[in-house]
Amino acid sequence: MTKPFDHESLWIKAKLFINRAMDDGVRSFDEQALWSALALELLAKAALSRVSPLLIAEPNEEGTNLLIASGLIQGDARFTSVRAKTLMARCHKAFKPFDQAEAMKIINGRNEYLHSSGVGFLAIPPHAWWPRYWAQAATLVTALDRDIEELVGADRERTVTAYLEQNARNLEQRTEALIERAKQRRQQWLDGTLSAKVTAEWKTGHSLSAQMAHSEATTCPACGSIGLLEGDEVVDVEINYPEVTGYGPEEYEVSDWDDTSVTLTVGADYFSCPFCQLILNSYDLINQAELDTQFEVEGDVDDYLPDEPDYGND
Amino acid sequence: MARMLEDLLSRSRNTGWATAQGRIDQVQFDAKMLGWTPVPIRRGASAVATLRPLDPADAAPNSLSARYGKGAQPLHTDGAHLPEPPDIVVLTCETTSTTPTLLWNNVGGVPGFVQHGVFLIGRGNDSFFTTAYAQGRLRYDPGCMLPSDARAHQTVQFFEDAASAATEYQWNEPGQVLFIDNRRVLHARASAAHEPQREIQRVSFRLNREAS
Repeated sequence: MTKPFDHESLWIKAKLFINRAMDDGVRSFDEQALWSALALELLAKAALSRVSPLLIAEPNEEGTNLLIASGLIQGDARFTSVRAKTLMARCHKAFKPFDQAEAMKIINGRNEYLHSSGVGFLAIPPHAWWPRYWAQAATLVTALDRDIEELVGADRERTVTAYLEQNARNLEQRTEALIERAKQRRQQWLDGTLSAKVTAEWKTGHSLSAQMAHSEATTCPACGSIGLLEGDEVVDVEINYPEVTGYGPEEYEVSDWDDTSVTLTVGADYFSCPFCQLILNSYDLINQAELDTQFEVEGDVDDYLPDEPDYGND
Repeated sequence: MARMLEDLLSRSRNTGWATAQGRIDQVQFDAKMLGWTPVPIRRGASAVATLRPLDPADAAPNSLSARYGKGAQPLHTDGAHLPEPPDIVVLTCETTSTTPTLLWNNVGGVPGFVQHGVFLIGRGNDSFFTTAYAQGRLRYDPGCMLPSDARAHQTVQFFEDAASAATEYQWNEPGQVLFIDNRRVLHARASAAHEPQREIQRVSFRLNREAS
């Protein structure tokens, strides 16, 4: 495959354009929106190309672009990819809940800005434009099996998250995107159509786990296999003492006290499924996916039974 | 056999560089035994190069010498302009030199802007964008990497400032070998204006998968 169709190169260029949109300085909203709109198109190309470069190569009679994208020939042919409208339509079908209509508003704004005398991006005020922009961009980032921090860096992630939080449907969309992507990835894995790179990134159960203090097996909302719900925070402790039924000395033998047990209620903070690689890394996502937000595990009796004072016969 | 390079690779784990006594042909032989791939830094050139201080007029047009002459070079990794830069750079000096090589490693990590700032590497039709740090490896050379956003400009400043914290490696015995992990360490030649006869041999390699 030649460089123009390489999803890693498209990702880096999307990073560059987002950097230019978010760099501190003198850029007005119209220029920020232009760089962001260009980045959205690159993210769409990267997401599709990662599945197969053929999804972004423009077909022509000789098939030169397709042949280059498939790696069958090497060449200096001018890179031609499919139109933005085609990209967005394909992403809409492939990466739920990517919204083609929302994306096309951004693309149309770009086209007007570049190709007409119009300003393009001012039909929607900035405070409303950015949450809508990031809702679509975040879905594509998820489709690339990456996260917002990888795109914009930790120092700018909060800015993006704030925009996403303004979007009332964001959580629902993000959960849907993660589950749909996991279903798709699982099917590709079963069909043997995952790219070698994605296959190489496939993690086993142990390395997918967040290694939190407590865990429970639970059904994956994407593929129905057994995944792992994890959490560190114990929200409740219940000590279960053995039942005493009699009054004779035999009821107080030490072996009875060994039956004492502790049940911990743990807040779920992380879910992972080794079968489809679904990861839900927050309470909100776990709750939205209708998984249990708390689970019970057995605790260590020694950690929770109150220490009895030392015996003294004074 | 391949003892010297294996030993240098092992000893470079902490700092990113290590030294020994040896010759360039021994380095090449060891590398071949280990299955390492020699990497020419210039297209069509030999993987082994003899480096001499040059005035800008005598230097290759696209080189650090063309920009900095015999003066101090900026910290850089070798082959930063290549899609796949070499993993290891080995410098040898048959005689001695009073011009030290500066070494800086990223043991303390790099700031976020180094990971996210994007540079343009101009190679005509093969030009591409890249960051200075990705997947655990550094790629930086101000001679061929043009900062393309504000974070990349911060990165340039960061590595300019890093020069003051670099370690000076002295070539004060004949036959010294300096092994540099080009994925984690930036290096540079100090000013050689006083030593125009200085000669250093350089050879670069990509490690085979088992060795990395």
